[in-house]
Amino acid sequence: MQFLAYMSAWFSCQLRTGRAATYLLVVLVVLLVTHPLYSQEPAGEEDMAPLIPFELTHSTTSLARYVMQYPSEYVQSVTTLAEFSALAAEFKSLLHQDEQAALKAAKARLKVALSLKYHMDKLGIEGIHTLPEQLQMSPAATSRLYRQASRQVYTDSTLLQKHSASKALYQYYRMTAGPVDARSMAGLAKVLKDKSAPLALKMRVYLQQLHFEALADETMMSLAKLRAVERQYYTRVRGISIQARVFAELTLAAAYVGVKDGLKLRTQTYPQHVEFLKRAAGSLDRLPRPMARQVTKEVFMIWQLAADQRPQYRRLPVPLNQLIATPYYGPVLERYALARYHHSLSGQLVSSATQARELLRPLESTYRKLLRVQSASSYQREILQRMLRRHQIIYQQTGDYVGYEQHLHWQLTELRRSGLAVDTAQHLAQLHAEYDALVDQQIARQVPATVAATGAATIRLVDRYIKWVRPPAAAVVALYESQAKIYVMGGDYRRGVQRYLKAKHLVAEPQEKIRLLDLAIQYQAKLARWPRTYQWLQPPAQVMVVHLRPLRELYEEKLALVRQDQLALATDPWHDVAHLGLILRYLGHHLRAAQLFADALVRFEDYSHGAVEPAAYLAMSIYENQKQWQRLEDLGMVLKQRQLQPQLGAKRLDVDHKIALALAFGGRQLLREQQYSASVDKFARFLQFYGMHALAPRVRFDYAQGLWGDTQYREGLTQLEGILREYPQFEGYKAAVSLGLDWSMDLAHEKAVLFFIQAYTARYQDRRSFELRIKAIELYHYQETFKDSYRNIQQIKASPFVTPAMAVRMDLKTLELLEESGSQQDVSTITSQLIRSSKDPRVLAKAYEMQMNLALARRDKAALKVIEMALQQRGLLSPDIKEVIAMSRLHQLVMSQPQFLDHQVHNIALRDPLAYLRDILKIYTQLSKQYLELCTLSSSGCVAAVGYLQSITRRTRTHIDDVETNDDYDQKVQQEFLSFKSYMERTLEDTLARSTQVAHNVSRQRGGLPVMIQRMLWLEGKDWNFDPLTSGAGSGFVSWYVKDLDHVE
Amino acid sequence: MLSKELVLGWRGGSRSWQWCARLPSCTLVVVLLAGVWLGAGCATLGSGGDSQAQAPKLVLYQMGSLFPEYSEISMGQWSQLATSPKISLDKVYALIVLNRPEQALAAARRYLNRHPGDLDGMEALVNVLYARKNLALLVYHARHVLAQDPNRTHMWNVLGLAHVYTARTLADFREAEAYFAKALTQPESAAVAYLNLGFLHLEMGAVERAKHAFSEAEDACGGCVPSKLGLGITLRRQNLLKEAELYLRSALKAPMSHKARYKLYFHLALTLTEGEDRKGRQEAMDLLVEIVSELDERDELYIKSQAVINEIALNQDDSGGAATRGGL
Repeated sequence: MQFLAYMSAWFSCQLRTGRAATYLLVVLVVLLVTHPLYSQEPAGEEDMAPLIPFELTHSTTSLARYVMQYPSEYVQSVTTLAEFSALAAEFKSLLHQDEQAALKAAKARLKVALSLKYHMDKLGIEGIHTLPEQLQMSPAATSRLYRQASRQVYTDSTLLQKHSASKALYQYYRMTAGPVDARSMAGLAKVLKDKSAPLALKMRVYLQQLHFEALADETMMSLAKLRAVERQYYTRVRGISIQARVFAELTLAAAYVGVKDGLKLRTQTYPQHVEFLKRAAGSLDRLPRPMARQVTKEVFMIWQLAADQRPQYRRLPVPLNQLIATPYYGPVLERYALARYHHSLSGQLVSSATQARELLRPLESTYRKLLRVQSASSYQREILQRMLRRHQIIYQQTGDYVGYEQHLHWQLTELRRSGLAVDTAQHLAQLHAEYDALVDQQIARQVPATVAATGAATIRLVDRYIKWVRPPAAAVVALYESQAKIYVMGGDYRRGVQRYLKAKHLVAEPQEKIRLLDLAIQYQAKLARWPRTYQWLQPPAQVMVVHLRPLRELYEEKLALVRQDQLALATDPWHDVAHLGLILRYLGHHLRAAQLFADALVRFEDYSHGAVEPAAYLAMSIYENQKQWQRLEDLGMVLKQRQLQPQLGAKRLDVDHKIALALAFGGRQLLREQQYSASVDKFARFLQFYGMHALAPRVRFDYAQGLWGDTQYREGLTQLEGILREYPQFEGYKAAVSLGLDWSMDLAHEKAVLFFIQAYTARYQDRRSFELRIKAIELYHYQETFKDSYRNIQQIKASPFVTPAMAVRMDLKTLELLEESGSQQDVSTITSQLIRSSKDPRVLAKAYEMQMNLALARRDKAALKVIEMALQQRGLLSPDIKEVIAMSRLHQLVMSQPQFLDHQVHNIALRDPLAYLRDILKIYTQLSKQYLELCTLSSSGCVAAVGYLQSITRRTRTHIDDVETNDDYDQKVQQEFLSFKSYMERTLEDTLARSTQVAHNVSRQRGGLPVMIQRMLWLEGKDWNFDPLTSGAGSGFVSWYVKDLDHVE
Repeated sequence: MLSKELVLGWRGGSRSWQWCARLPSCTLVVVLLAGVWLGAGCATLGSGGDSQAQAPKLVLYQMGSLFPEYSEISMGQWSQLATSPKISLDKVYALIVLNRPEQALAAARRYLNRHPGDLDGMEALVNVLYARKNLALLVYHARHVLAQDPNRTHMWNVLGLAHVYTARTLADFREAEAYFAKALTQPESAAVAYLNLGFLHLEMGAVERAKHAFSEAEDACGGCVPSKLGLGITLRRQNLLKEAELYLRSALKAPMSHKARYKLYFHLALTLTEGEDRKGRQEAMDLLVEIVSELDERDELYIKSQAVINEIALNQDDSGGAATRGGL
């Protein structure tokens, strides 16, 4: 209806613009649209609903395009609104130009005027409202512009030459822009006379004229009038183009039919229209294709309106192929096909299926063409229904289900392809029902049959049925099952299993799935030659491995369903578990088999089944062999908790033992993977529950390592110590000791280091043991355990790895220890032993020095002498020995210092003071000589000796101060005494100075012990300058030197 | 190990620290040195021969004033580290610096219990043992560290010092020399090793060799105070008093703690006293009087200075002349 409204609006516009030629066409359009053939109301049995609307026969653009056919250089390219807007703007400017404007301006104005007209024609009356936006003008201003343009064209036409295309065009514009009347038609006649006018324009004008004349009368349809027009046609027809002639013929045909304003106004139809329709149809091949299509449509419409009764579709006014690509093609084609079918059936009896098929063939071939068009109608459904009925009869008569099925298939396919399932739902349902019945009949007929070929045909039929009909899932399941039965009856287990599985895929209910899986498993087992009984001990023979794998998958799927839906109670899962496990084992998937058994032991609590104990046995064995310790442990705990005894035949497994193994080796595995916390947990549990197990020492060793890795260092070390104490026969003893040593050293745990060293050295006598003993020396030293230390050093010396230099070092170390913490008895014994055994001068020197100190403590001068003699007899002149000799001699000298210094001098008692002084000097000189001789042996001894000598010298000087002469002596004697005393004092001073110089020279040349150097500095008066590195050992020179003096005194 | 961030945070990335950061055992040096320069009263004579109290002083001889910047580390910061609940090497060194060797030992052992085999921890333990004069154990652990990583040459220094302490014969001192010589192989421990060698040679009377060692130390540590002090003492032993005075005076220009400055004053005073210049003697007396007035009576330097003052006074009472030591 919207279309009609638009048409009426357009039509009113056309009236104003004088587009008379379009009237006829519009009328035809309206007539055709209102024709019962295209109305929605049913019109009897043969009426059909309009399938698609009619195309707008003459669009609003057609006229303008028609006008634009003129070879005008102006308007040809004006096609878009934007371009037109530009032209309109140009026109607006031209209107204000001077009257003396050139002729070109007139042409330009014509161009613009035509463009405006084109626009109006194109868009109708509403189009004027679209202009202001482009021209920036109001609608009223635009209307004024339009009128102004029309007036201007009239004016401009006088400027143009009489005969020219432009002039003709002006003329056309003038006549068609105003009201359509006789005057304007007369004006248009000038165009026909204008030689230079384009042919198309002339044709246009002619048609307008013809139409005006033919339809001018209200009654319009008198035959006489029509005859007159027809004559006019005959006079004009030779001079006009084929297009104009065809349109003229169509106009005449319409007039003879009595059509105006889309209605058949006159009931009477003159037969002359047939002639003109034929002529128009006969010229179709010569027309351009678009125009030919248009003419075809119009011819066909006039033909339909002209028919008094139902059109004879069997005899069309135009060939069918001319209708292709028009909206008529589909409706006409189906009417044509049905008409032919009816015609073919009329008066004939079908005597055989072949004949029936022959009769159907043209219908089917036509209909195949018809279905290429994307349309459907009641006609189609009827045709399909009739064809189906006909094939059904043929099938019932001949039993040719293949042909019938093919036809069903064809209809189904076509209907689906054309996407008309909604409109033909009923028909589709009927097709499906027919197909169902067909398949049921065939299955019922074929299932009992044993012939494979026949069964295969039925199976294929079912496949096709499923494919084409797509029945509901439940029906498909049944069909698949029936197929499977046919297959397995024929011995084709493989396909039978496939069908069962396909059916299973369509089933939603788990129990139904399991039932189908059972069936599939049954036949798959036959394929694989897998026995139904459990063969735990020996694998079955002649198994088809290629079929065994699918069987495994089926079992797995079934068990998954059983697990998932808690159907264990309703089924016998152990049966499937046992078979699947054995299959997995057969296929080499031992671990998976074990996991399956273990999982079943946890999940399915029906332990009365005969497969339980063998399954447990196998699972544990596999886990152990595959070193799946965690799983073994878990399984063992389950078995223990449920008091199950793994057993296979006569063989039984000890669950506790297996758990212990799992803990021990599982822990070790975790240890290797550096999962220390977890490994510690395992080992701890092992030691808690299986502490007496044979693996306990090894586990404890691993436990220690786990603790260490878990940063529990001390605990780890403690465990190692415990192992060495409690398991002396442990095979990893050496490794444990080594590890303990490393750890204790890293922890700086000296006692532990000593422990491990002792543990190692007590058992092994190798080089490592030797090295460890050396390392232990400092530790023993630190612990101040002299006996252990001494024993350790003796062991080192006794080792075959000890070198002479090392032995010497050991001796020196022994002496050092002895000096620090040995008893007097030890010192005496051990130094004597070393003096006997060693030849090293340092050892000897040190040993003798220590003996010398002992003798000194006893103030045993004889012993000192013996030591000195012994050293001299050794003939060794190393500096160390010289030092000892020097010190020994020094000590002897100190012990045998002159007695006179200890006695108070009583001068009166001195009979001869001079002689006394001389004696003293003699003794002193001898002493000083002996002291200074020590400087030839040792620097340290020299400094000490000089110190003692200077002390003696000072005391001697003090002593001789007290010696006086009696007055009784004569003067000479007194003189001699004083002189000698003076000499003696000088001698003493000289000795003091000389000894200092000697000590200085010796210490400077040879160096010495710091204590001696310090003494030397003291002698030189530079003791404050001594700022020793080792001053921490004493508190400065003063205090210890005084102590030394105390010792001396 | 004292964390580098902490150290750098204190010093703001000065050049000395950047140099220090390249040295593996530098932070140890840093901590011990800081302990010396800040721990006034640690090196006192009045402790009556307490060996533990002498430990930082020895460290002073090892380290010298290589890094005077450390004197800026406050005792509060050390105390904060020492009281930290977290067992770390920072804490161990802080306890050493604060002269709490027993606590330091416990902390070091706890640290090693948590980080077994950590060589930095071992080194800290060795330093703690050194502070405690636990020499036998020190030798054991130092050898263990060196067996693991021979490049930790500071351990050779410590071993050398341990041998010096336990030395009884000249052979022992020579062995200590050999250890110091091994410490010379790495630049980071060379300066300290030269200083140790210098003082050891000085102690053994080998003045020329001591002079050489101190000269090398001066080059290695960039003219640090201990090297100049050692050179001053050595030159004075050789009666080259002017040169000795020069070195000691140049050492005084460096920034240092009061304690170090008084030590230099003392040696400068001795040098001036032995000279013939009267003005010099007067200056020496002034320096000694300043030491006595500033230090505690129990301080070793106080006692020595007082003794020298008395000696000078006695000599002056004896109307001049060269006084001998026997006159004391």
